[in-house]
Amino acid sequence: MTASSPGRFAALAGRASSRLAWLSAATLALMTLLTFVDVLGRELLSAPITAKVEATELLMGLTVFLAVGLTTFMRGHTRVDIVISHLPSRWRAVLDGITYAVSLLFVALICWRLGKLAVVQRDNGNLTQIWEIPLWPVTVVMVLCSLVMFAALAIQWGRAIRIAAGKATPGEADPPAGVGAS
Amino acid sequence: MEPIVLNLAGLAAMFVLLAMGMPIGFAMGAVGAAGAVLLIGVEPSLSLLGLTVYETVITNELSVVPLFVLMGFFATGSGLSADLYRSCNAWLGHRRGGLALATIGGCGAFAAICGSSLATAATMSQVALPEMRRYRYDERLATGAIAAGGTIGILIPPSVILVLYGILTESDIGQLFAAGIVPGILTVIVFMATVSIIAHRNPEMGPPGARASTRRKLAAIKDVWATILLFVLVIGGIYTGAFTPTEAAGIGAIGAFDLAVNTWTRDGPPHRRRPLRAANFVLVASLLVLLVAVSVNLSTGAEAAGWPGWVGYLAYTGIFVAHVVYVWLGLFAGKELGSCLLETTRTTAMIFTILIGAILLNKFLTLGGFADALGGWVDGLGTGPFVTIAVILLIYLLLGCALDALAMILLTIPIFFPIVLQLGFDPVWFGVIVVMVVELGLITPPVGMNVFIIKGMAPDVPLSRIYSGVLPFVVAEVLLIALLVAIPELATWLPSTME
Repeated sequence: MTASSPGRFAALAGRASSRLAWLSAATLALMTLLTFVDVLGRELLSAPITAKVEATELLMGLTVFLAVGLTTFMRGHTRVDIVISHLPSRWRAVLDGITYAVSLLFVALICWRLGKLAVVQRDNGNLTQIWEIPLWPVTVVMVLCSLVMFAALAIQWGRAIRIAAGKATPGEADPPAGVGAS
Repeated sequence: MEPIVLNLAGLAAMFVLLAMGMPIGFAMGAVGAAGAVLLIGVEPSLSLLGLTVYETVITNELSVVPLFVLMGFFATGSGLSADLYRSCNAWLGHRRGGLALATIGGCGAFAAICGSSLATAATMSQVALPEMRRYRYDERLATGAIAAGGTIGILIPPSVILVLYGILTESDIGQLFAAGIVPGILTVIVFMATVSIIAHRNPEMGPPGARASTRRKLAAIKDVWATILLFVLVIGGIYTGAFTPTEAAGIGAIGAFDLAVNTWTRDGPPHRRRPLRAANFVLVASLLVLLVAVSVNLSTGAEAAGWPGWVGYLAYTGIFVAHVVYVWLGLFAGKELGSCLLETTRTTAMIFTILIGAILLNKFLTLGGFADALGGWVDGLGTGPFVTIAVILLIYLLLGCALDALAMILLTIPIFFPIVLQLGFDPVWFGVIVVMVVELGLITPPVGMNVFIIKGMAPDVPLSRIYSGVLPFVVAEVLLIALLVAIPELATWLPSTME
């Protein structure tokens, strides 16, 4: 790996998380319209959308997981910083290094178990009840999005380690260009 | 190791990880998963991890969370807060402390369509603070009123915090919403009374504004009727059982989108206003047709929704066509629309990460028998239910100094809720009480999130001055909580009338 490889990887993962978040916005919009049209149809025409519940379930899974990468990249997860905000930046980076390592392990376990679940769903031929949509592709998307979250955490862990080792300053630990709403 | 000792060690480890700055969802989830491994073995606990993550997100019921969050973002992005503030100002602004009264009123009204305290405080400070500064309001009263008024956002339904409480405790979200209405209105009244007392004791702190003409007052009502209609539709629909909370959230999100499109188009090129007016006309006409049909049915004793088929088709077509136009117009405001959707998905991902962590932690505590042991311990103390509740509320007050509202609810409910149930308290009442205590945490030092938001909007006002301005409202809120503990019916009466 060249010296600039981590930066390129961070930019690539950042762009991927942004694109996925836009897909999440699209699934959210679809879920909202689906709910609205279903209620209208049921109340006014006595004709609800038959598979609304299962469609919403799948869209929910996609909405949450497609956005989780960007949320992690943007450090959007709630944390208690009342203690660490009083520490010098290098000490903070040391603690970040430890907590990111634990988070990485946790997310790796989630990726693994969701992957295993996808295999079981495919082997058992699990389908939704009405439209009979296979469940495993959605679970695979959840695994891929978890991998993006893993990548985001790994990048932040690497930055924390570099700051702790005195090889980078906290300002360089900001999300890479291209990550965000645009 | 005894399971209960493992539970306690796990909780201690979690608090250490939290203090080290680990994201709350990851800390709770990691401790929950690791604890389950020690209690039931590797393979079963890892299966539990995968299934918990999957089942928490692949769900229809929990779609209520992103839909209400989206409703809040549309309400915030549409600038409705300015209309609401202007309306309250027209009616109250000429009184002593009138602009602060209008701020509290505006916050209460905005809370009815936005379930976030931070959003309420942020948007209201943009419109109310410059106005109060123009009239030379004391900066303590000005900033204190906005910070305190903002807290009403999480109590008056729809409230995202109450939704999450309902999910974690498996309480009825509709009943929780109904339970929040009376305490929410009481909070508005008590905060207004606090402003009045301050302004009467020190008239120079809140000089009266200009008196609005009757015509302007009536025009002000015109600006907010759609907001009131949306609140009535969403909360009334849940209350009467016409919609589930999820459906109401979907309707609320679309309704807030309609209002936002109106604002965005109003501020855009003139040639798009004609289709907007046409869509508004068609939508209102369709709703009126429905209203007439329901009224006729009710007056003849028939079922409310038992209208002839053509009425349904007419209304459906009208509402559908109007929304095709709204969506088309919304696409022209791509930046604002995209921002609302994207912010919602990011917030949703953040909330679900904590929710998954909380559920994993809850399972670990249940496997270790934590709730039973804690309940037995509390019983053994022999202190009585009200002392126990007082201690729990005190702990919440202390936690409010360090944690934000969402984290506090999701972190503590798995621990405290079993005790509350064992003591025989109404879960719905406890939900309202907890939200009110959490409200206090938003304006008490050192981590008063609302105070920080006001500080961001008014950097020249020292933090100590804002906290000093907030203090009378903190006292008022504590008194109100005490009243609600003494008279639980204030919260439980309305839910008890639901079908």
